[in-house]
Amino acid sequence: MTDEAIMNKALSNEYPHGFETKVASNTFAPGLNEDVIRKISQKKNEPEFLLQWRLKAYKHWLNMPEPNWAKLDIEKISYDDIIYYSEPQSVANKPKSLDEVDPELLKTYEKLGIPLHEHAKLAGVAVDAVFDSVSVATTFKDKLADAGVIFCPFSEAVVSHPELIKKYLGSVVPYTDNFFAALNSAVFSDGSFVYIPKGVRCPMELSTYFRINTPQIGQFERTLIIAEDDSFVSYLEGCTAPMRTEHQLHAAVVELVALENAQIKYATVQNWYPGSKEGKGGIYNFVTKRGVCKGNSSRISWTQIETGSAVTWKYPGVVLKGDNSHGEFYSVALTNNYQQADTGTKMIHMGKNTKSTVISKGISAGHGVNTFRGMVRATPGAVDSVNFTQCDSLLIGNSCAAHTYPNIEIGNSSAAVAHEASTSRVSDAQLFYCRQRGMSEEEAVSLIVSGFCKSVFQKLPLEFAVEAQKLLEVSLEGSVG
Amino acid sequence: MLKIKDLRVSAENKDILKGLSLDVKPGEVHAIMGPNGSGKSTLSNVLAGKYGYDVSHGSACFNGEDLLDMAPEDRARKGLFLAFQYPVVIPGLNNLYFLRQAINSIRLSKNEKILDAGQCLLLAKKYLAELDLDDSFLSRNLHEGFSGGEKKRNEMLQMMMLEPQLAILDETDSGLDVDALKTVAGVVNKMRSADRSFLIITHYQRLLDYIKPDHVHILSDGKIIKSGGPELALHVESSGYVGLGES
Amino acid sequence: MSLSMDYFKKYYEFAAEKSVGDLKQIRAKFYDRFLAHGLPNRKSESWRYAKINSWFENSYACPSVERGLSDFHDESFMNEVDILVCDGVVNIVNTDIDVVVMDLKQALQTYPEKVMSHLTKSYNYNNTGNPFADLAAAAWSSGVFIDVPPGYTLVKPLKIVHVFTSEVFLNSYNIFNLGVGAKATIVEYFTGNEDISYAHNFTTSINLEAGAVLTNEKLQNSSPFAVVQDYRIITQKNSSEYVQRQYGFGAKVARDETLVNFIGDGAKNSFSGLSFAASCSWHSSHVKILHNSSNCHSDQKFHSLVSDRGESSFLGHIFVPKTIAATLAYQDSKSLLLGPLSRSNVKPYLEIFADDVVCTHSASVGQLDKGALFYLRARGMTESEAYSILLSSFASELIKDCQSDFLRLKAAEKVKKLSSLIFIEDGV
Repeated sequence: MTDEAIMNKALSNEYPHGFETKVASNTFAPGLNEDVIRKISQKKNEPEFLLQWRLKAYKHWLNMPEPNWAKLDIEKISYDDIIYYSEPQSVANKPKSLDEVDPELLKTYEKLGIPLHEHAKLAGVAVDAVFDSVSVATTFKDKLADAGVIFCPFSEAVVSHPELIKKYLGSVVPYTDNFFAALNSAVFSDGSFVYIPKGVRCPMELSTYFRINTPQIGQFERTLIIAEDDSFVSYLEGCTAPMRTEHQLHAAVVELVALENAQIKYATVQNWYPGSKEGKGGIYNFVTKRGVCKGNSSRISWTQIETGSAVTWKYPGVVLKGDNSHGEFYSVALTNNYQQADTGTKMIHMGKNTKSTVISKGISAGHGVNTFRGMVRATPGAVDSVNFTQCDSLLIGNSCAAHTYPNIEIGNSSAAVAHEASTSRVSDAQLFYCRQRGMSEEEAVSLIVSGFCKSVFQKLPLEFAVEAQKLLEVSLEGSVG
Repeated sequence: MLKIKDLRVSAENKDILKGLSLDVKPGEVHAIMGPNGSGKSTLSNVLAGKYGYDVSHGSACFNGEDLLDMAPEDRARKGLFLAFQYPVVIPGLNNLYFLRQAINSIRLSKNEKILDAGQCLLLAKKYLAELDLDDSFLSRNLHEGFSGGEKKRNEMLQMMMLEPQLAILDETDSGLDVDALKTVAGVVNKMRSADRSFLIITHYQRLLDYIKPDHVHILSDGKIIKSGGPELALHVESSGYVGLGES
Repeated sequence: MSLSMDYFKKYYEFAAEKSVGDLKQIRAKFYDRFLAHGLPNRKSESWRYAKINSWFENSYACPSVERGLSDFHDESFMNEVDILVCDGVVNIVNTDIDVVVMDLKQALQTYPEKVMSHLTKSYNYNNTGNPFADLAAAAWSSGVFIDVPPGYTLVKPLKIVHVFTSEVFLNSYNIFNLGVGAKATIVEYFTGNEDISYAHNFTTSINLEAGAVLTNEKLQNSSPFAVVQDYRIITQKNSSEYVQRQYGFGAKVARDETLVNFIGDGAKNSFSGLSFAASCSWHSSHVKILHNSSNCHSDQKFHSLVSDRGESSFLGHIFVPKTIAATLAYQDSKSLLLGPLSRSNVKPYLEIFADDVVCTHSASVGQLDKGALFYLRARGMTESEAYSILLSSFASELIKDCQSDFLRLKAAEKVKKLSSLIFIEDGV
């Protein structure tokens, strides 16, 4: 085999989650108008204020231009051809316990490695499973309730805790924020809601598993996490979708609120269907994620492993309002074949003595394009704020691209900001060295890449670090590993 | 074990090896000496299968198999080990993890049982003391921040763990102090056996004070111009390479 | 009141009215594009921090009146000048130079093809948009033309001084051309009376043929009321080397932008820049390097000091297209904020489409090392002395390599003076 052939083999990518589940669903006709929004709201038994909020967002969205500043290569999205709501019929009857959940759905999650059944549940992890537009099951609800933690589908929280929704929804990401946030605010269907009361350390990892199943559907979920004073929560989301030749839109909004001395750790393992080797199909993953460190000494960290989606467009940020608050962003983004990832973070320092850390590792292979876009801003009030950013790109093969666009805006002389970045390729010398020690080129590439990403993997909850490592290997090298 | 016949190699359109022949039998230690630019490193790189060389003529067989047709990892799996003159740095890659990957890929190719992390650690620890290294050496990243001496010791550690049939030491002695030199020689002498051979490539004679070679060859301008016993190395030490070609 | 495009019309008409033929045409092309593009807004990354409306509040005169140097108050550079440009009027002071050095208007008669080819190149390369560079090329009324013949080494540096003694809006266009294997050093000094306000908008087109080596050093010490825009467009052929050292101290608004295009293998360049944005001044440096050939190296090092209500920006952009091999590119920027209201913006961009690259960038923004400050004071220095020493050493990294003694001393002196002002103003 020539070097090139070996390299190609090493990078060949089989997407293991591309199956489709056959379930009967209640699905809206494609298209978007006020009626669709009213129908979604009605389905969810939403209070009036929420419907009005959705409609305002919709009106705002109608007057917004689609963003194109990231210069991503995106096929024109026809918003009238998207299905905005689909739920498996079995869920419409509101199963009261896991035993009533359609076995076909349970099987789907089992196949994805997320068993929901009581006897096989992931130890120490509570899971909310979102299938197309609705949550189908949430595990360990009782155990969490004992600790005072609310972990439930968003649509359930809207009914059971409208006061919390009213207070916090849109408080971090207003519907005016950007085109996709406005769209999401108008049509979001489900997602997860987490509330950690004062002084509570959430007794287990919380996790939401998103699955897109129905063709043509757009998934618009909304996640809201509120951590009251002195509380702690660690949350993880995972995402997969069937292989389809047309693109599908996923436009989520995630809002995090950390009050005094609270800590939220949010991790994402994003493995949406990336499209075929030729760049056909795949998910358009346009997500707005932002946390606000509202209270003093609060802390929010974003960790993301991005290996999926045809196009990813997301910049999880932290607004550091509270004094002594701390924001972190750790990211590994891998693009192979024709994937494009435009990701990074915004750290907005407003409080005194605030601190942020950004570590980003981008890997581009095949014809992949990987872009880091970062913003670090210190307002005049952010006295003694500190930022450290490190942002490295690794190139594999000669058809890929890696871009780095950091933006540093400092309006405060006591701020200290340091930014380091590098772009380099997997060197022939490194490959040869590993091969001389008996490893195949696939193994060598995988080893070098995992070394490159190590500092980010260390930030993942232990249970998922291994999974992330595997995911990277699969994305890079087919079955070897 | 290793049979090289009339090997001609060029790189970037420059002829480097111009008809080199060599026969290394099991259990033998051969030393190849030569001045800078004589083709020493090219020889070791070509034997290990490094990219960027063009073999225009000749052959190299390892235990009867054509070496030049094999992928680098296949050569390694069949027992050829190269101690690099300049070991590469791989940021973030744990040294012990790397060792285990290397051992297991070789073991897997021979259908042997793979070592788990614990077994590998025990094995490595056994050798660390011999190399004057402490355990923390294993938890560092591969060659990241290693001194020159540490890199060479790490090469020796790998050699001990991988137990090759033929080990090529490419200027392993360069940049080492006397103590480190003795350590390296100690490892080689200990590993010498009837079915393991060594090819020691060096510029200076001093390593050969501690490792007694069976054969010494002088490489100059891409050819072996003289072969002999250990006394040849001493001659180079006292008189240099000048005039060797004429005799 | 917001600035309208009409504001610039009279300067264009003043320059273009007497032009004929090709020149008239290309001026019109530039001006049309300037009008079509309009004034840049915040949406453009490279103009995000520019408050253009506030730049052109005065109605400047057209630079029509010839004025003598008698109106200029500082003559410290008089021994340092080969070419003196006073309010746009070019005087070749040293007639002993054995390479072609002339007023651009004269060059237009003598070397029309060379001049036109530079103008055409500027037109083609600036298609992504600095409208003021278009304006300079459309409305230039002054310019220096330097042509170093192939194989020729200019032993002594060529020294150009630009002086302003009146409140004018000057558009100028300069050409530095180095033939195959030619070597030269060009030193530029920009100054003006301290109490007047003027606008200097200029473009310099630089071309280095194969193997040519140019060192270009410049120091901007304009009036604190001046608006200065310096746009350089550089093409580098095989194995050529370009070194730029720039020092910026004066002006209310100082924006410099350099675009380099590597159009031959094995070319190299290095940029070092020091700027000191004091009081209310606004300094912005932009460097874009198009690595359009293999084996090219680029290196950028920018330090900025910002005091009081000053603001500095650095925007570096490295672009490596597909199939380009063995690229090395480095960027490094450091900003020190010295006053509580000082601001700094940094955008070190890397845009890489090839895999055979080593690119790094680092950027830091912060304040003076308090530990070092304390150390010096513990050795008996006053806070003001300690500041001055630390700022001078921060600056010296970029000043020390400057070949022009005049610029080097001037730069050191300016840093010292501006650092001493920090204490008077803040009353620390």
